[in-house]
Amino acid sequence: MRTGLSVRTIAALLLILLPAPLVIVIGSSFSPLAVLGFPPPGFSWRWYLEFLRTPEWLWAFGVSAGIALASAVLTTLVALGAALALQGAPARWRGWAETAILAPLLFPHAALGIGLLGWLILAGLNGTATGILAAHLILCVPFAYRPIAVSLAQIDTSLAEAATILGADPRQAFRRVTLPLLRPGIAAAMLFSFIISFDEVTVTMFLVGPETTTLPVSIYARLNDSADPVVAAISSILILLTAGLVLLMDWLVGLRIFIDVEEEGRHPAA
Amino acid sequence: MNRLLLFAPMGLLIAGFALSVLGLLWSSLIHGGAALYADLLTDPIILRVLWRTAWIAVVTTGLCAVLGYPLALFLARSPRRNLWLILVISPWLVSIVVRTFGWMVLLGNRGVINTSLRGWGIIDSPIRILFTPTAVIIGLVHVFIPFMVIAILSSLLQQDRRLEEAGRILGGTRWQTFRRVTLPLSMPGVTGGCSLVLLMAAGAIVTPLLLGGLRDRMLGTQIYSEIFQVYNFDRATAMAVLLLVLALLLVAPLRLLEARLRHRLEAG
Amino acid sequence: MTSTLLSGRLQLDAVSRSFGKLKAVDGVSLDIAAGEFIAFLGPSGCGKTTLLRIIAGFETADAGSLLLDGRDVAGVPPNRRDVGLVFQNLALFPHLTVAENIAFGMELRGRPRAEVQAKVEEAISLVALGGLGGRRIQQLSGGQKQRVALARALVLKPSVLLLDEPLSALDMKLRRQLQQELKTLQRSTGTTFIFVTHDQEEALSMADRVAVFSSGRLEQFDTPQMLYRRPASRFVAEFVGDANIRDAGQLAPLGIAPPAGTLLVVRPEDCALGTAAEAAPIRREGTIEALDFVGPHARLRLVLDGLAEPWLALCPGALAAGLAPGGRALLGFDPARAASVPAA
Repeated sequence: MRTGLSVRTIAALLLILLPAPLVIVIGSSFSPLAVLGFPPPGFSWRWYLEFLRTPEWLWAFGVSAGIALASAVLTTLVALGAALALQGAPARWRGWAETAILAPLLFPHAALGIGLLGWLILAGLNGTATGILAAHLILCVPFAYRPIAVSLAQIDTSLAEAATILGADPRQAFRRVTLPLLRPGIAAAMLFSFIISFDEVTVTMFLVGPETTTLPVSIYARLNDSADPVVAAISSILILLTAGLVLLMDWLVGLRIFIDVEEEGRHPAA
Repeated sequence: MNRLLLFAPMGLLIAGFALSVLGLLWSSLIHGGAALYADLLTDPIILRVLWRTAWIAVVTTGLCAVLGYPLALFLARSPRRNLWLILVISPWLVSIVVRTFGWMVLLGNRGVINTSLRGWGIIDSPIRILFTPTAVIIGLVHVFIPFMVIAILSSLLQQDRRLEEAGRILGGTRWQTFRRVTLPLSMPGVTGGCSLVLLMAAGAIVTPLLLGGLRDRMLGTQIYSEIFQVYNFDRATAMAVLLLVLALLLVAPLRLLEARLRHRLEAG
Repeated sequence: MTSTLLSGRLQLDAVSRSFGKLKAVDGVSLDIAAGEFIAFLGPSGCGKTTLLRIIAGFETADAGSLLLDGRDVAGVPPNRRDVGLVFQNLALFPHLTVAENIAFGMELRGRPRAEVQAKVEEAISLVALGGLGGRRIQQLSGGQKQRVALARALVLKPSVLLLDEPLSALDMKLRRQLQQELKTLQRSTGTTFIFVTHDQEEALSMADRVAVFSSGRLEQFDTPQMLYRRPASRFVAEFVGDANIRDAGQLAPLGIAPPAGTLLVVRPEDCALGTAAEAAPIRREGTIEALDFVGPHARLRLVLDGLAEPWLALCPGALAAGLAPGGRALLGFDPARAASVPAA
């Protein structure tokens, strides 16, 4: 059944408007002048070079990348452990555990930021990369957990039994059957977690310090003063990085995982 | 035993989250005490901020639902869904700060919209959009609509298409079938998406700060400046608790609706 | 894990398994000889699959013992029992090719590569899948998947192979063909096969002996002929084939008096119609209520004069004899050829 004209019009409008601001940002980043504008009055790589020449920007990029990488790997491992632990657990426990795991998703980030800041100060970790990483682990783990839990639920339990009856002990069955079949879920978890961590700003802005700040928070700080093309250049890099990762995800796993994951989130115990 | 060991790291993260929530309650309720709340709730500025936060969140959510539903419907039916999905998901995953920046470029006095409108001779002097609640709402809708689209899309894709065909074969027009079959069955997705957007819009900081400016504050921005400009931690935590209460109050009716819907769908 | 000619004897003694209040398997004792083809038959939920999983080692029995070639296997995990299993959904590994699926078990056992390759080739040709070794599982048809699952289990030469309704997803024609192939395969390998099914025709046509289950209990364990001709209970008589089952009250108008506490089981094909019925010891006219044409013969339902319960009869020449619904016909049978089962 085809959709009506009005539906298609709204859809088309949104499909243009959703990427539009990003296209504008990328376009204005090539301006040769110091004022932002679109379309840019000319073409130059000037602001990209400026980014590469500014140690503060590069440092912030490095911090962001490092934290994102660490939280991608760690949250994926944590989520994998939890998903395996909950597989076949009594439904009631599982429901409670998943509610707890997914809770940060449903908690206003402004409140979460200040709550995290409270105990990071007590632990002497505010303004450090460790503190930001700890916060990102809490924030990103639901994003890592859901794709893994979805993939795990999609694996037929009789496959592990088949491995067992063919002579595999539990460890071999996991390594040779379950793990390879979980690969798409694990890839999605890592990419998802990496992107969320790399882009996070609302919570992180409470936790950064004078020495350690992330790229999105630096962009925010700069925008508070002035919006100049160097911000556009850096933003463009972020946009292309994210788009690249989304395409990678599409290629490795398929974007359907985002929708399946949503389903899992709405009925955690199912 | 094995299970516990596997779950332990996740337990640690859950504990970290719980600690944040408890810390919030402790420092505002016990350390700050009732006087703090009395102080906040009699402050006309705070009351206005609360009111603004509530209505901006509600309007944002409404717009996300009204605009997001047709897009989700289109995606659910489109044979080239994956291609369009890239256009929804990529912007969704780009940092909020970058997307908000894009709207600054578009909406500013010397921004793309004003420049083009003036260039075409439609207006003489720039219309003021940036630093108004309108700009904040535009920005928030852009930031949060993908959540809504994905939520609705997932419940649409879960539906058995034959139900719709059954609706048609029983004599329903396209509109009747949509109203009486498709829409009711996708309501869990709509309410789920609305809860999510309400919560996030109420707690937004970056978009209201950059697009709304300092005058029209929302609760999130108020909390942020309380900490980083006034350095009053207790007061900020009390506001965070107010934010929590506000969010719960906003979402509660949706949750009730959702429970009733689910009850009906599962009983039927 | 080597199989000698004599391996594959399976003895179950009073095996029971409950889930909560439900007794899934209730005191089942069976003695299965090496090299037999056994079918476990029963409606869904009768406990046959649970029993199969107990034999495989995925479930443990609450009570009773299980001996494989005289050895108690109670504490032996599935991966160390000398038992193969073909799953109902086949459970082929989707991330591996056909050859990799078949090689899986041998690789776990650390067999040398050359031997694995040779055995895989042998298994592939045994199940007539030549040339498909490199295929992915998703690229196979239903029947081909079936054969891969069989090859994967048989290549390890288990002393007992369990098959959990492996043909239930296939269409009728392919099913018949694979039934034949399975039978041939079982004869040529000499492996003990235990085949779970709810299809009585499948069980009767394939197995040397059939175990019939109902609500967790073993109703009868016998050859197909005995099962059909001499059912041990009303359940078996009804579940295996069609039957007219009558108690003393229902038989009195026909002048038959079965021994107290028993029911008479008259198979529809033992009921003659028309002129053929004239020689039968028991005869009664009736009205034809329904007539279904099923190819080689017709299935009739008759209401006999003076009797409430309609009778079933199978008649090869019904159509030629001009029988039609609403018409009259004479039905006759010989009670001496009928079986009797306990009434309770």
